[in-house]
Formats: sequence, structure tokens, C-alpha cells
Amino acid sequence: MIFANVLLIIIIAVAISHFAARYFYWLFKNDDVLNYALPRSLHNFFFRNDDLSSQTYTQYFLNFIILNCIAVFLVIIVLMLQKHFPLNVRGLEGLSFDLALNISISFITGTNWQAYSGGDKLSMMSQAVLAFCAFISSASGLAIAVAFIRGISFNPKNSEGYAFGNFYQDFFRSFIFVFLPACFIISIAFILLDIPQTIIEYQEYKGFDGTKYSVTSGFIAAFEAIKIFGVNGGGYFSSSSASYLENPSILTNILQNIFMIVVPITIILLYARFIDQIKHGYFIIALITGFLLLSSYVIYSYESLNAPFSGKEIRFSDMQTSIYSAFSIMSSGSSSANYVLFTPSSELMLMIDLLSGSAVLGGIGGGIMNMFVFIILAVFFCGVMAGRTPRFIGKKIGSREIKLIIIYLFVYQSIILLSTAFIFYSGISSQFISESGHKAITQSLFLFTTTTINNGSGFGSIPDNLVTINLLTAFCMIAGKLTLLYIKLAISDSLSNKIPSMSRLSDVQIDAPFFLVLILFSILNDVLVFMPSIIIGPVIEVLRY
Amino acid sequence: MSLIHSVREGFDYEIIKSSLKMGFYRLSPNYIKRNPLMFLIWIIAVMTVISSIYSYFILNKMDKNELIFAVVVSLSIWFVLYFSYFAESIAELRGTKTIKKIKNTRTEITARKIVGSHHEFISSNNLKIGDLVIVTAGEFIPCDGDVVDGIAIVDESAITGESLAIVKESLPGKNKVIFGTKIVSDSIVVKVTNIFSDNYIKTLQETVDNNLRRMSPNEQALNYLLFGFTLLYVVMCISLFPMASYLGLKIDLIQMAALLICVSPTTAAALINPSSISAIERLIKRNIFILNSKVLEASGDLDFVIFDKTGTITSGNRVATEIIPLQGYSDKEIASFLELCSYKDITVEGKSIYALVEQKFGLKHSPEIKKKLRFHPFTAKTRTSGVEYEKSVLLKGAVDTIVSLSKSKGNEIPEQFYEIVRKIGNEGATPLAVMKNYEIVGIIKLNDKLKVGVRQRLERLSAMGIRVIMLSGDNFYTTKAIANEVGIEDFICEAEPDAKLKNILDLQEAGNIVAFVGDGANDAEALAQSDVGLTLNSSSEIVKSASNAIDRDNDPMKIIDLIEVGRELLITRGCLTTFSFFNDIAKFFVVVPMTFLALYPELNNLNFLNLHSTKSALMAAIIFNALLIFIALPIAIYGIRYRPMKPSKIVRRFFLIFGTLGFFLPLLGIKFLDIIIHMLGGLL
Repeated sequence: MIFANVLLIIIIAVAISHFAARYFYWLFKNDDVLNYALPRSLHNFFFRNDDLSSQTYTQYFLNFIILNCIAVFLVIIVLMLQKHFPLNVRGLEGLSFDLALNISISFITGTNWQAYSGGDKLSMMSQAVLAFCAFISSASGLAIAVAFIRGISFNPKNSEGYAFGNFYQDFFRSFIFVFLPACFIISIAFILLDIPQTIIEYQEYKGFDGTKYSVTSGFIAAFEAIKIFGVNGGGYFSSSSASYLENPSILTNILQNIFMIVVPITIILLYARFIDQIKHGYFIIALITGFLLLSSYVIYSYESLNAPFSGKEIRFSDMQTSIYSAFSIMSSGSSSANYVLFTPSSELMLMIDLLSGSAVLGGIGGGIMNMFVFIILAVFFCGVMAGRTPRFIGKKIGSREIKLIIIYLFVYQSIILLSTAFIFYSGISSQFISESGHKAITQSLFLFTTTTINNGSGFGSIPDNLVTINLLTAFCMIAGKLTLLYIKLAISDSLSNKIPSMSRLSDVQIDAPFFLVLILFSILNDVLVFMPSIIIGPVIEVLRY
Repeated sequence: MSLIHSVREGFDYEIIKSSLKMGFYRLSPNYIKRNPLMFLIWIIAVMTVISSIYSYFILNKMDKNELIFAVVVSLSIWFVLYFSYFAESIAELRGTKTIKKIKNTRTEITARKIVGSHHEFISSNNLKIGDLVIVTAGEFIPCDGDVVDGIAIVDESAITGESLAIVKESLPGKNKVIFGTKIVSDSIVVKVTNIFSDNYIKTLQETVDNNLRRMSPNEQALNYLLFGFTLLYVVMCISLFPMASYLGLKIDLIQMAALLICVSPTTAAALINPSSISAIERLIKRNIFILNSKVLEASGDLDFVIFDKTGTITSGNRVATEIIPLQGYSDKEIASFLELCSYKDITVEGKSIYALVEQKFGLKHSPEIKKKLRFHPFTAKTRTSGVEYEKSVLLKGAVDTIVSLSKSKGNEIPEQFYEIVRKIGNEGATPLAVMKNYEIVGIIKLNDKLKVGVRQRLERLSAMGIRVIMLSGDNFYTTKAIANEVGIEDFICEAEPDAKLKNILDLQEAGNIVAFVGDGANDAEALAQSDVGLTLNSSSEIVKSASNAIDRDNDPMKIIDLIEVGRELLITRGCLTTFSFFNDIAKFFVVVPMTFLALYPELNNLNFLNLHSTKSALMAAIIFNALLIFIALPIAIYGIRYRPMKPSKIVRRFFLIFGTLGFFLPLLGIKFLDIIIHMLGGLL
């Protein structure tokens, strides 16, 4: 039953993605798109400068940072001074700088780890700015993913100039022609399915006993659309999709599941289309399906054994909650349950999902780009064992790529492990970790993993007024996003300079089931680094349970 | 179907003895710092020793069990280093031994050295640079050198593959002669410019030595991978200290070092360099010399092999196959002319004409007639050969020479002559004209002679997934006829000298790895440009210096061996890496839960091997870790065998074999050692 449920969601998502990938391919492959009448006039409205030529990866990345920085400053100003902005009926106070910084970075990196309680602390204006920030994050994430894919598939022999394209052009295309229309349609659907969309900040009603209750409201449906479709995961309220206003019925629950994975899967198919290996793309999706089935099943089989604790979503049955958790831990990070109240085995599963999750499925700007690191590693193992210098779509994998991959793994694992080590070494763990003993290890490892890989799932409650933790997680999010993105673009750049060989005989066969085994092998080698911390964290609990 | 190369020569105890010593000397930091991964392990080893000494002698904190643990761990880490340098020394010494063997078995030619006014017979091995030697018709040239006096026709076909004999005289561009080539006519004085042993043995030794310093691209990538993963594990261990101390578990440095070394890919790191050296040594045994290990890797990667037709696919010499009479003569009459014409001819073509006449017509003139003949040998000036017999002149030679001779005497060219010449050309053969008294009377058809076994070996090449291109200066028909005969699809005909270079450049620009096999003087550029330029030992010095691989057997098809060994090297490395990574996975699952056993007794549920204690498990794992290098050593030294198969099939096969071996071997070994350690612990 749970398998059928998960498979159904994936099949619908893949079906949508299949067409979406064609559209994306048309949109991003073909530069004439911008010469049509409507895009042209829109484009001219936004960009004065007509010289939007192709950029090097460093320029592209720099433009990406500049745009994101502008968004971050905007958000910080609005959040800190929200008292002086309109749409603040409740007269909420401005936030402290560190919290505002943390929130803005969290939204711009697509992490959407929430150190605040959205419903109580933010005015409608602030929420609106955050939604805008989520749009920027998703659209620039897609632009950079497209640039990355272009770099891989670039053939310097047939084309001139740089592989990556122009950031503003790509951003424009993905913002105006992907996220804006798609989110508009999805918000309409959500409104029809009873998610509120009002400009009244809160509503009051009288209970049976005569006391007055006030319920925070706002443009939740629109917020929800970019949260889900943009694979961001940051909810309007702190309980995110566990809240009845964000996720009122089983239908919205399933829809959110589907749309959470549409864009990541579309990017995989887009990548497959660009390198002309469609079958390879579907094999990667098969791998992801396997992961989703396994984790949904494990979580469900342990959760259904237990009586529900408080904080666990029970409105839509254990099964739906388990599926939602499995999907979101690998993509958006919008939770429909408090994971700290899960059974230990489910926690272990979530932890493993999270660690491999940056590669398997993942968010926009992660996802296939992270998976690609493991694909290249698998190609390397494969090629060396076949007695040839490994080649990916005809391009040689040399020591530069391997060096970059190693730096990638080193950076992301060091951020997670050393931050965890740091809070225990310096003793600041006691300030915010609500649990003790091995549970504290689990909690902090989870915290730093989720921020570093920009997933944003929460695990247990963490107080929001701590300067140290706000700054530390902000650092993890920004370092995790930017350094890793830069390294991945460098890998793509290195491949873009290589001329693919004509004869594909020596290519590693990337569209075969056995290749998935090799990908799993390389992911396993990566996850093993976390094994000691997992052993003294979640595993102890599983054994004690 | 043995997996690795068979152990043919058995053990050489000398090598093992000196390797044991050399491995020890190489543990000095000066030597080790060349390899970052080994240097990292070395630092850990030193730290472990210092930490053990400090806590035993200064803090006085260790009890007997702890001391034993510290000693075992320190020794095991040192043994990892020692074994890896032992392996390296073995590979290196075997290489040196093989090179020495080659030095002693070089062919000798007797040379006539000019000393003052007379000659002195001397072995070619004893010649020195600057010596003058005289060589006359029928003799082999004993050295590479420059002609200083005289003019001679030299047959270089056995070596360069060019079918025409070449004139050598003391003019620049025409004065280089090659060791082992034969003088056809006249005599020359040669000044020795190069002695074999001086050059190549040195280069070979350098190749073996250099491999320790300069890594090939793939080897470098693999080393980055191994070093990178070890660094990740270092971060893992460092981060464990505060976490463990937060939980209240004191982990000492020695225990952490043991954990780190256990899970690092030390087996692969130790054996990758020896496997490269061994591959070079295997090549030397097959009589192929390479400039550096990069060539070996490139040959494994080849997409295209370009052969120069003459000398590689066909033997340079052409053979007479048919006689076509003209002007009313019968073929028997022409044959009898040719018998007279050729019986004293020492060129290869002449000999083959004589053989044809003898076989097909059974003709033989009496010795009396032959006594009356005046023989005109083939010279570079006349370009014809023949006899004067009873006032008539019989001559044979290249078509254009004979035609112009005939025309100059006012004779007409027979009607069908040009037609037949064209027809022969279209069949891929070469015509020679026969002339009697300056009148053309017949045509001899000369065919290219294919080298023995060329077809099968070309098939082998395509089974390896390599495309073969034949390059020839001949016209379309000739080239196509030969290409069809040997089963090559791609060929380039009427190639100008610079066509070779252009084709290679085009293919390389399209992202291909290209090998060029050739030995002619005009091949130098092409050889230098190609990724793998294989030439023959007999080619000239310039050609050799342009190429990066030389075959001592003068067999151009040895490119197959080069490719095979190149692939074997990569496969061997891949298998060692897979083996090593699976070892680590197995050791991770055994060792990591055991490390925290004292803190959380429930972790004993994960102790699926049922090991006795944390310390015994760690000791067993780290001892076995060092032993694994020893276990995998034969794979590195003898190399995995390559068979032409689909690449994906090879990967599957080796991944399964070495993955399974790599995973289960440590489990067995650790369990076994744990039992022994426990028993010894009881005795102590």
C-alpha cells in the first residue's frame, strides 16, 4: 500500500517533469527565446543593457552572488525595521540583526531552516519579502543549475565563447517563464483547496465559551506555492506543513508531495537531455525512487507501530506523514512532523537520508549537481577498472576533476563535522541543545547537516534568540551553499573545456543498472565518514529502544 | 583463465633480500615526503610512537595491556609504511634486473675499424663514438653514424620498411646510416655517432626511476582520490574527540590513530606505484622501451592507430608474381631474358624475379652462356639493371626510366603498354618494364608482400575497440586492394609526407588519442605529434628521438602489446583501489562500533564477528591492515591479465571479484587474529 502510494506520487511527478523538461530544454537551450515579442519587451523592461553575452563561470557565479546579496540586504532591512513598514497591524517589533541575517541567508540559500516562529514574529510585509526572497533563491538556483548542465555538455569544438551563458538572461528566463507562472497556477489550486489567501493579518472569532481567539492569516496559498514548487520548505508558520492552515487536507498533502519533487526531477531530465543520455536520466530517477521507497517504508513501519506522540502529524494517518517526511527530508525540508518525536529507527533513516539526500533528489542548486559528483566518481572507478582513462560522454576525467571532487567532499564534510565538534568542544552546546547524551549528538549533527546541505528540516526545538547559534548556522548555510556551488561550477568548467572524443567505445556505460551500483558505492564511501557520529548518535538509540 | 599473469620465473631471493633492506632505508622523512599520503601516515606513525613513549615513561600511566596495545599499533603503522616501500623496491629492482639482462643480450656485428692505413676487426659493441669503420657491399652497418666518404646504396627495408634502396653519401641529409642496415652496392666509410648501450639503457633506467617522482595523469588522479579520502578520515577522527569527551569517553591518541589507519585506503596507496613500475618492467621484457609511464597510460586509452603501410602491414619488399609479354614475344622468351638479367641481381626484387622464373618456367641457362655475360648491377645513378649478351642489351627497371630510355633511342612504346601498366596499378601492384635493345618487350608485375599474421593481429586490435587507419603514398587502388586484403576499413591513400601529421592533428582535435606507428625518416614529425609514437629500433636517431616508444624486435604490430600492458596497468590499479575501498568498508563496520563499546555496552549487538574486546578488535584490524598490503602484493607485481572484452563486462567482473574479496577477507582475517590475540592475552 505504501509502495503504491509512493510510486503513484513519483509517477505523477515524473510525468509532469517529462513535459516540463522539454519546456525547460526549449527555454534554456535556444537563445532565440528572448527574441519573441513578449519576452523581448519584458526583457527590455528589466535590463537596460543589451550586452548580455556569455560569461565565464566565475563571472556567472559573481553575478549570482551580487543578486543574492541584494536580496539579503533587502530582507535584513525589512525584518529589522518591520515596525516601520506597512502591513504590520499587530505592531510586531523588529528582529535582532543576527536573527534577521540568519533568516535572510536561510531563505536565499534555499535552506529555509527556521530559527523563528513565522506566525508570531513576522509581519505580513516581512513574510512577503521572504516569499520574494524564496523566488529569487529558486530562480537563481535553477539558472545556476542550467549553467552547470550547459558546462558539462559543452563542446568547445562546435561552439565558440563560454559554455555557461549569461546569468541575468537565465535568471530572467527561469523567474518569468518558470516560477512565476507555475507558482501562480499552483497558488490558485491551493486556494481552491482551502488554503487561505487574505490580506488580513489575523482574524478573530469567538469560541463557544465566549473567549476571543485570534488566528494569524495572510497570503498563505501563495507562500505555500513557492515553498513547495521552489523546493524551499520554509513555511508561513513555524510548524510548516504540519499546520492546518498550510496543509488543510489530504489532497493538499499529496499535491505538496508531488510538487516538492517536480523541479528536482525536471532538472535531472534536463541534464539527461543536454548530454543526450535520456536513459541515464531515468536510471538516476530509478535510484531516487529506490531511496524514497526505502525510507518511506522504514519510517512508516516504525511509526505505525507506536502510539502517536504529541507533535506528530496524525490528521492524515501515519502513512501520509511518513511519506511526507521521506520526501521532504530529501528535497525541500518542509516538515509535516517534529522529527525529534519519531522512533529512533526512523530518526536513523532520516539521518542517512539527509546525509545522502544532498545528492539523491536534493533541492534546486543541489540535487543533480551534487549527484554529479558521485556520478563522476563512479565513472572514474568504472573507467579505471575497464583499463582506460575514464570518460564521461567522451570527456576525459582527469586529476583536476578528481581534485575538485575531493575538495568538494572535504569542504562539506568538514563544515558539518567540525561545527558539530566545535559546539561540543566550546561547550556552547549546553545553551541550545534541548537533549542530552547521545541525543544531543544526533540533534547537533542533524542541525549542521540540514543547514550545510541547505535542506532545512528541523529536529527538535532550538531557541531563536541565541546569537552564537544564529551566526553559526548562517555560516554553515552560506559556506555550504556558496563554496560547494563554486566547486561544482569549477568541475563543470573543467569539463566544458574538454573536447568529447568521437568514438564512444571507450565511454563508461552510464545507462546501465550496474552503474547505479557504482554510484551507490561512491555515496556509501562518502556517508561512511559520518559513521562514527551516527553510531554514537542515532544508532545507540535504536539499540536501546 | 587465471586472473593475474602467471609467476614464471619464480622468486629471486637476491631481490627480496635487497628489497628488505631498501624498504627500511626509504622510511626516512626525506624520501617519504614525496608522496603526501605516505607522509601523512608517517606523521601519524611518529605521533603514535611519541605519544606511547610519553605516556609510558613520563606520565607512567600505562598498564601492561595498554603498553602491548600501544606497541602493536605503532609497529603496525610502521609496517604499513615498510611494506609499501618494500613493494616499491621489489618492483624497482625487478625492473633494473630486466634492463641488465637486455644489456647483455644485444646482437653483435663485426665491424672493420680503420686504424691508420689498415683495418682491424672489432665487435660492434666495442666501438666508440668517433671511430671510423669501412663497410662494403653485402655487409651490415655496425653502428649508427654519418657517412664521411664514398657513396653506396643501402637497403633499409628490413628496418624502415621503405622498399626502395637509398643512396647514402657524405652530403647533409643523405649521410645518416642506421645500425643493422645492409649495403647493397659500393662501399662507404662511416663515423660512429651513437652507441646503443649508452643511450637506451640509460633512458630505460630513467623511466623506471622517474616513475617514483613524476606521476602519469591517471595515477595522479588516483593518488588525489586516496589522499583525499584519508584527509576526510582525519577530519572524522579529529571531530570525534570532542564528541566522545562530551559523552564522557576518553579516547587516547593511539586508539584514534589505530582507527584512522584501519579505515584509510592504505593498501591501494602502497601498491599503486609498484604496479606502475612492474608494468614498465613487463613491457621491457616484451622488448618495448618507453620514454615514461605517461606513454603507457596513453596506449591503454588509444582510439586510433595509424599505420604507415610499407614496413608495417606489408614488408617493404615487393615480390614478382607475373610476367606479361608484349610485341609478339611469348612469356617463355621474356622469362629467359629475365633469367639472364636477374641471376646475378642482389636486390630483393631481382631475387624474387629470379625465383619466379625458376619456379614457373623451370628455366636455367648453362654456365657457358653465363660466362659471356656482362652484368650491369643496379645503381642509384642508372636505376636499372641488366646484362649485355651477344651484342644485345637486356634491361629491366622502373617504368618511367625504361620509357625515357626507350624513347631516347627513337623507339615507339607498344600500344597496350600504358593500359597494362594502369591495370596493374589498379590492382594495387607495381609494374616493372623489360627492355631488349631499347625496345620494350614485357612487363613484370610486383606485388606487395603482406607481413605474416598481419590480418589476425589487426582483428585483435579492433576487438580491443581500436580503429586502425592505414596510410600509404600509393594510389587509391593499390591502397584499397591491400586494405581489403587485411580487413582495414579506413585508409588514406596518396598521402603526401605532411598528410601524416595533418591526419593526426585532425583526429586529436576531435578529442581522440592517436598512435602512429612508423619508422621512415619522414615520420619524425608524425611520431612526435601523436600521443603514442611507436618506432622500431632500427630507425634513425632523429626518428627515435621524436618517438616515445621503441620496439626492439622491429615489429610494428607490437603496438598491441603496448596497448595490452597499458590497459592491464589501469585495470590493476582499479582492482587494487576497489579492493582497498571494500576493505575499508568492512573495517568500518567492524572497528567503529567496537571503539565505543566501553561507553555503550549495547553496541555489542553490532559486534557481528563476536570479537573479544575493543583493544583486541583494534589490534586485529590494524595488524591485518598491514598484512593486506602483503596479500595484495602479487596483484600489483604480476598485474591483472587483460582480455579483449566489452568494457562494461570487465568492470562488472572485476568489481564483483575484488569487491567480494575486499569485503570478506578482512572479516575473516580480523576474526582469526582476534582469536589469536585473545589466546596470547590469556598466556601473558
